[in-house]
Amino acid sequence: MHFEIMDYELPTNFDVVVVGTGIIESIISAAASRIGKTVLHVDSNNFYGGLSSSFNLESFLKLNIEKRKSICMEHSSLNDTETFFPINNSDFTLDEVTHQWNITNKNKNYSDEENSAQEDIIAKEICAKKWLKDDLLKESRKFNIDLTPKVQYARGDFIELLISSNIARYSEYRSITRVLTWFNNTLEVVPCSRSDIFANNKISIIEKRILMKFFTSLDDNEDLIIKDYASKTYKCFLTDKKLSKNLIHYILYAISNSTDSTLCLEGIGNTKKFLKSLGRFGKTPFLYSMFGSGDLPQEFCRLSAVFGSVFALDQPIHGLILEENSFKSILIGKQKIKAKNFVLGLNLTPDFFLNKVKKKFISRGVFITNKSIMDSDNEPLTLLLYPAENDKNPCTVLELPWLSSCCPKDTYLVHISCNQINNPEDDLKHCVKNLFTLNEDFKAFKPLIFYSSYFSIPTNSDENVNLHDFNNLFICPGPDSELDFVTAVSKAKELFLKMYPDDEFLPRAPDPEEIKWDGDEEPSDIAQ
Amino acid sequence: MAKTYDYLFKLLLIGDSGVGKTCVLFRFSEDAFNTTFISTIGIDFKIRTIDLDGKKIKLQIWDTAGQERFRTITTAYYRGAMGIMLVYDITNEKSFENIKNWIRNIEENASADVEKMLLGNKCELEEKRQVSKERGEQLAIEYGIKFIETSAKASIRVEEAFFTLARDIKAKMEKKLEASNPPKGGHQLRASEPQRKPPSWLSRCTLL
Ligand SMILES: Cc1cc2nc3c(=O)[nH]c(=O)nc-3n(C[C@H](O)[C@H](O)[C@H](O)COP(=O)(O)OP(=O)(O)OC[C@H]3O[C@@H](n4cnc5c(N)ncnc54)[C@H](O)[C@@H]3O)c2cc1C
Ligand SMILES: Nc1nc2c(ncn2[C@@H]2O[C@H](COP(=O)(O)OP(=O)(O)O)[C@@H](O)[C@H]2O)c(=O)[nH]1
Ligand SMILES: [Mg+2]
Repeated sequence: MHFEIMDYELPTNFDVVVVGTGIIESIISAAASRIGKTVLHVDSNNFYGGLSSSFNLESFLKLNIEKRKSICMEHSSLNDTETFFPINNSDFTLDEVTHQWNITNKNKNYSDEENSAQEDIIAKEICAKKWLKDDLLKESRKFNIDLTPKVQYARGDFIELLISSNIARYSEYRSITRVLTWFNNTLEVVPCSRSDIFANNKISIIEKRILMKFFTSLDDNEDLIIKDYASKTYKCFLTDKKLSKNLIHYILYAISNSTDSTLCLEGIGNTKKFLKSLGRFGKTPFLYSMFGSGDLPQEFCRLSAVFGSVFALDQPIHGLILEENSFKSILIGKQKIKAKNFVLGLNLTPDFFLNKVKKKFISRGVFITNKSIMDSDNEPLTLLLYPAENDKNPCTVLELPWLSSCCPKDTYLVHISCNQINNPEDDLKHCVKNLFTLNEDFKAFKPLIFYSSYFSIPTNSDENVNLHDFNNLFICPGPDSELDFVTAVSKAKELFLKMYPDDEFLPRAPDPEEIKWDGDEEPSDIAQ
Repeated sequence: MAKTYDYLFKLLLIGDSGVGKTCVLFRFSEDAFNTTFISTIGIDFKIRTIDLDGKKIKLQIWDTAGQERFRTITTAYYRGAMGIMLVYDITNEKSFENIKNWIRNIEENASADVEKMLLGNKCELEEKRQVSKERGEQLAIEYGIKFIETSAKASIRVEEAFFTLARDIKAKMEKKLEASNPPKGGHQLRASEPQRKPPSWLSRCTLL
């Protein structure tokens, strides 16, 4: 929704002003509001989530990728003791965006190929539904296309936070059905659970024993491992453990989501994280939020609002005003809004606080296809951890079925991401070629791409921020290339505790039923 | 744990700030009207279980958490909503005009088959009325939805409003089930509730 008219007034005095609705900003907003601070939470976009947002197909096709022009601000409103730091209004910057349709609005005639009954059956199986471009556009609202897709470990810090803070009530999750890897030029299912391992016919009985022993031994010899492998790679450790090539592949590239150069302790940590998350909510350790990852920041915003924060999107945010070594106010439209603390997304941070460094990006591909990359009896929700190949980075492939509420029935929505080397299309080319086809060939076993899009997401951490001892400004890094939100949670907590060292970070919010109202009395209990 | 209801309906309240959404919700769920508490703590949602034709229906009714003030309701708010109460204030012309904006908002974000109903609240303030009952009725006809004038303060027709909406959702749901799903021991009726034991092939869970 776009508003042209901006003639309304925001309140002008707060404990905290949060600018940007990315995941970290939203968690901090919720945490501050939760402990009773007054919060104004604004965004210059007219949608929540910034680069963590999700869009329906139509909005996705016309994402506004132009940098916002810095709006001239009236310096007359400043007095002598004030210094103005204009906000870097390039908040929402996707780069190198391309869209390609591989289907048209004309129905192709298949009749010349339908000459045998058998082919007819194959045709029916493979092209269960023939989509036209307009059909997909008509279903636009059934799509929820993540800019930065995330899966969560069932016992990872993000899910634990959702549960402990009681924010989990705002969302529904689906368990990822299977984890795949690319091995010897084919897709392989990664055995996740004990029963998976025993059911797997690609690994021998001896290997199974070794693998089980390996998993159970990880907790035991921690000290020895720290001593002997502190500077060695996880791959080296696995090789020393006499694991077979097969098993090393599964553990290294899939289970621990590592590379050849990942250090041993990090690899072990990742493996344990994976194992720990098994058996909580499903067959794999991973969860995906229904309706897309873009709902996750919104859930924290909701809690923030329930505890009284004022929310306003689509705001003309000009800049911060510094007075005597601390920030005093922020200029939004024609209003000067005072606050004790300011929380800002990294992309909005005034240039003054950023060291000049080379920007890093995530290469992204989005595909709409007709079937799953690996046949299944049911509609699978698949995570494929595609290992590094030659000069290419490892790729994360997330394939979402209709049941995830991210695409219409009879389609799949596929996200591919990797750390950028050249450009999105080039970085993902090999992976796309191995998984999909562009030809409407009945006999093709690979999924057919209806539509594809490539773009770059900036992913700068806050390493290069220099706040020059201004202690009431807090900078939140943008999206990262982790599978989950573990880094985001720890960053949000760190910043919150810097701001309010004596307060609890997101204590459990009471359920509405726990708040008792006695007639005309004040609420008697706001459970802590 | 035995289930204490047959259906769970998620309902939303929508409309301009100040029209009385939170008060309507409190009247229905607590049978109370109090203006002091409402500004002190935001309301997330309230629950009331009602009886309809022998079925126990648990209504989970969500409030806007104040995010309607600057028209910044999250898209996530609309997820899975089965019914929406569109509320205006009969003493405030603007809140009535804005109903069509809110309907546009719903069309953009809620599921296409969500049941809607129009409420003209504060109807006991006859002397301050700016929007006639006829205009309310007319707008409702335009959108093909039902209309009731209520008062949260004087407790007028608030029950009736929620019962009507719930009944319409129930009828729609039962019709749909008959049409598309052959009966299989009534198991499907509980699909809207988080399942204790997820189906093994693809589990959907609300984290508890
Ligand atoms: C869901 C919804 C969507 C709308 N979409 C649009 C749109 O796309 N384009 C459009 O021009 N108008 C839109 N409007 C109408 C707009 O909000 C104003 O009501 C209208 O422009 C008349 O302004 P006013 O100054 O006469 O109202 P006022 O009587 O001054 O405002 C009434 C109340 O609304 C607040 N308000 C007014 N305008 C805005 C705004 N733009 N954003 C946030 N809060 C505001 C005021 O602070 C006040 O609390 C929408 C309204 C709603 C409820
Ligand atoms: N006279 C009258 N006032 C009402 C009624 N319902 C709500 N109010 C008042 O309207 C104001 C706003 O109510 P509230 O429920 O907070 O509105 P919301 O912003 O839509 O949630 C409060 O001052 C209420 O006391 C009603 O039925 N009659
Ligand atoms: Mg309210």
